[in-house]
Amino acid sequence: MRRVLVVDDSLLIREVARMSLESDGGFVVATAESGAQGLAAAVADRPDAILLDVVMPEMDGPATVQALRAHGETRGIPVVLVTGRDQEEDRRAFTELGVAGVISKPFDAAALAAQVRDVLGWGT
Amino acid sequence: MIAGIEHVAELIRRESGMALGPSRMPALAAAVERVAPGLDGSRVATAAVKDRGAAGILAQLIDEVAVNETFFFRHRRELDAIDWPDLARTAQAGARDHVRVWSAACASGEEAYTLGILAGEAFAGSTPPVLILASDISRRALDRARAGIYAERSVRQVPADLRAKYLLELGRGYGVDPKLRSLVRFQHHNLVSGSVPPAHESPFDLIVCRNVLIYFDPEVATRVVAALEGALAPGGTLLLGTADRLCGPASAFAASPVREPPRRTSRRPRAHVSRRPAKPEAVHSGPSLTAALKAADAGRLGDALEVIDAALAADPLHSDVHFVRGVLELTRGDAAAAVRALRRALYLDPQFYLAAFQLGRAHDFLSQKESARRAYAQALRILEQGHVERPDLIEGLDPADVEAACRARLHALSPDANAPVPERSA
Repeated sequence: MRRVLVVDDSLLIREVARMSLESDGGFVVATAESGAQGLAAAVADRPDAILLDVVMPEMDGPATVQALRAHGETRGIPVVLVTGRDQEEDRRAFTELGVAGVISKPFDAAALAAQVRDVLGWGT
Repeated sequence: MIAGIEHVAELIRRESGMALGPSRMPALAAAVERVAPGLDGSRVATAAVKDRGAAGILAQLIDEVAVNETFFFRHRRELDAIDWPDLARTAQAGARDHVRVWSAACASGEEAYTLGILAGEAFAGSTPPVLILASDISRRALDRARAGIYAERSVRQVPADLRAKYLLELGRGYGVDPKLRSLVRFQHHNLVSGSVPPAHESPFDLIVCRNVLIYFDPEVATRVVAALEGALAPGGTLLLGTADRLCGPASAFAASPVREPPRRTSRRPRAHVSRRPAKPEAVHSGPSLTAALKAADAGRLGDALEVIDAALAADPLHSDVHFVRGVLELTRGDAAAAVRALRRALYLDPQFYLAAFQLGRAHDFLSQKESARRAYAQALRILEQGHVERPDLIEGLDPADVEAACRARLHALSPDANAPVPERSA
């Protein structure tokens, strides 16, 4: 069973994503409320993918991606950014970070699991 | 009795929507004695018009006569119908960080805190992503709500595990845990004369309004429900109490005579109001009624009435079918036709208290006060005699709520002076 880590400072977003990914995707979902917590959870649990918020206090999404890439244990974990910043230049900058994909906020909760599968090429 | 007390009652009705019938006059007179001793009704009314501030005479009188007896987890089944994950999805889709909830007549706070507890149980983490606005017309009740201290009686229906988690034992009572307290914001608000939503408030994902409409005149209840629906965010939910549905707009009752949770309307983009689908297998009175109710639910009242006509052609002595016909007629605004159908339902089954109650409402809509009063009194008589042997058409409907609604309407109407309707003891 695929394991996904959701990192977002909004409890509402974490809860909606968790419920959607569990019920619609059948994934095992863990959550973290900051970049630092997310990094620690990723190192400890090695999830199959990370859904990562961009705008967070202290350690934001891009900084978290860089920290994940710097760790041997987490370097290869695909990251999907979830963000309300979806201008063309933002997307280009995110792509340069080497993330697997970007999902726009607010997202369609009913379609989130399918979107994640699609971005990660997991099939159904 | 204080001379001119009816002027004070009328002023309260206009300000708050609370209709005080003759049986409430002694309580109102006692309130006037406490608030403005020595003044007659006309003078109090004059003074109240001039002094409408927060601590004014009118506000004090409303505090005195407001009905705000409640307790934690009251009518739990209605609250269990709340789909918290769906509300969270709605809030997320609207780019909000919290589910916005409004307890629109919170009295002394029990309902608002109950909503906080249910949200706490629905979401993981120590603090649910929920913000609750709780408002009431009574400032005195709001003071109690803010204090958050309750007697054993108020928390008797809180399961032990939740009591341990959300309430603090205080020796002779219970206090609300600070975490639960932090979810709720209390504010004075008048549903009838205030703006809906309250000033400076953005739309809500969930509005709960229970045990309020039964005290309003039908047209006020209809207006308040429409205003509440307008205060919902797209995809939001309005939860009315079962008894309130009986007193709201006729449309609120259209899909009700099936066994389903309380009415929830969802406000979709462009304010489209959708209903939960009827559950065909759960209808009490056979496939014809099922088909009719499904059609009514989909807004096809004409089709629904055709089905009902066919059912009546096959079995003209079926009281349930006449009852549903009456409800449908009321829904499409033909109260006179509703009266005819509901009378037949009652003729065929004289113990059909819901038919008597709906007959009262149909007369109410026609402003036939005396007939309405007789019908409500008949419903009350059936209920008081305990002749409620037929299975209720509406699951979860407490006959006591219909009784309360009958009393509220009887109080609001001008009754026969020789037959004041006594209050049910609390």
